[in-house]
Amino acid sequence: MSDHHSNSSSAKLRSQYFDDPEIQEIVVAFVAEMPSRIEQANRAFMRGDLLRLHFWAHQLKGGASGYGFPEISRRAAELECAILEKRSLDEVFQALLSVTELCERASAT
Amino acid sequence: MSDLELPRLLAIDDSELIHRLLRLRLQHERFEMTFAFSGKEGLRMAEASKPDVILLDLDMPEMTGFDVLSELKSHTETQDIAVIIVSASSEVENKVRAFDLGATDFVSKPFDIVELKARLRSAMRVQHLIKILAQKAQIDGLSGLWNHTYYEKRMAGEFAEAIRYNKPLSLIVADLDNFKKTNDQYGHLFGDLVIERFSNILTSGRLSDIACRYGGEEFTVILPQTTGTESIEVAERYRQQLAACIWTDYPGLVVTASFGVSDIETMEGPKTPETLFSSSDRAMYTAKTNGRNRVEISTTQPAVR
Repeated sequence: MSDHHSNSSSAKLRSQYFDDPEIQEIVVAFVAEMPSRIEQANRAFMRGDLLRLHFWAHQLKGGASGYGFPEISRRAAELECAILEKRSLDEVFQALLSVTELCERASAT
Repeated sequence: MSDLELPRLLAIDDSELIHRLLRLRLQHERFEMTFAFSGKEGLRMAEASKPDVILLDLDMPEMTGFDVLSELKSHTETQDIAVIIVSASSEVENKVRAFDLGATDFVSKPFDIVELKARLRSAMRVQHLIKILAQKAQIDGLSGLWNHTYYEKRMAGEFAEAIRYNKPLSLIVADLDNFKKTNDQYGHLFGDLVIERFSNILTSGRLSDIACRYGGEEFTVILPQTTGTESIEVAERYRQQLAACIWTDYPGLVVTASFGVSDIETMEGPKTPETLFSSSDRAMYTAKTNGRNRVEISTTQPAVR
C-alpha cells in the first residue's frame, strides 16, 4: 500500500489503512483528533514552549505511520530534529507548518 | 506461567497512539496486555508482574529503551523476560547494541502487524523452551526436588527480598540419620527409596516452601515469610512423618532425620545467605550430637525434642 498523495496541497491525504476494517475505528478517531492536535502544537509554538512541541512531534512521529500516515511521521521527525538541533525559530516554524499542513489533509476514508 | 494462564505482554512506549494501536491490533491474540508510558513505570510493572514478553520502545524521554533494557537484564527477577525492541530507528548500530544488551528481537516502526504477531509468537515459543530447559537443569533426578544450583539462586533472591522488604525468612537444613549405614545394610535401592519418600514429605507441606536436595542425604527447605519459631513446627511435622513411615520390606525399621532451623532475624554474624545456611547447618549438627531425630534452632530458643 502507498500514500494516496495528490499534487494539490489541499487534496485529502488518505490513510494507507482506509480499507482495513480492523483498525478503521481508531483511524477515524485519530483523524478526528487532528484539529485539537494541530491547535496544541500551534499554541506550544506561540508560547515558545519547545519542550511541549518536541513531545508533540515525538508522539506523532511514533504514532502516525501506525495509523497509515507515514509521511506525517516523516515530517514530524523533521520537526523533532529541528527542535533537538536548536535550529532557528523560523526553521522550526517551517517544519511545524509542514507537518500541520499534512495533518489538516489527513482522512480516514 | 501455567498452561491455563495467558502469556503476559507488557508494552513500554511513551505514545498513547501506539498503545491504542497495539491494543486493537493484538486484541485477538492470546495475550494479557498491559501498558506503561515510561521506562520507569515499565520497570516497576515488569518487576511486579513478571511478563513473558516486553515490547520496548527505544526512543523515550528521560529513560531510553536502552536504559530500560540494561536494567531489566541486570536484575535476577527480570533478566529472563524476552524483550522485543520496537523502534523508528533501523540503524544497524542500534540493532547491534540492543542485541548485545540482551534483546530477543528488533522490529522497526512502522511495524507490519502480521510480522509483529509472528515475532511475538516466536519469542513466546523460545521463552517457553528456555523455561523448560532451565527447569530441567535445576531438578534433581532422583528426588524430583530442586537441586543445589537452584537452591543457591533461589535463596539469593528470597534473601534479597526479605532484607529489602523487612520480611521474615527461615531455612531448614535436614540430614537423614545414619544414611550410610542404611545404604550398606539394606542396599542402595532402598537408600534411593528413602530419599524419594523423604522428598515427598518435604514437598507435602505449604506451597510457598521450597524444598531442595542440597547433596547426598542433605536437604534444605526455604521458608519465605516464616519466622524461626513457625519453622520449628514445620520441621517437627517433617520429622514425625518420616519417623512414622512404614517400610514394607523391612517392618519395624524406623528411618529418621535431624533438622536444623535458623531465621534471618535471629541469625548471628553477617546477614548473608551463606551465614543463614551455616546457622541452620550448625543447628542440624547439634541435633545429631544431641541424639539425632531432633529439631534444633540456632538461637538460644530451646529445642523441640
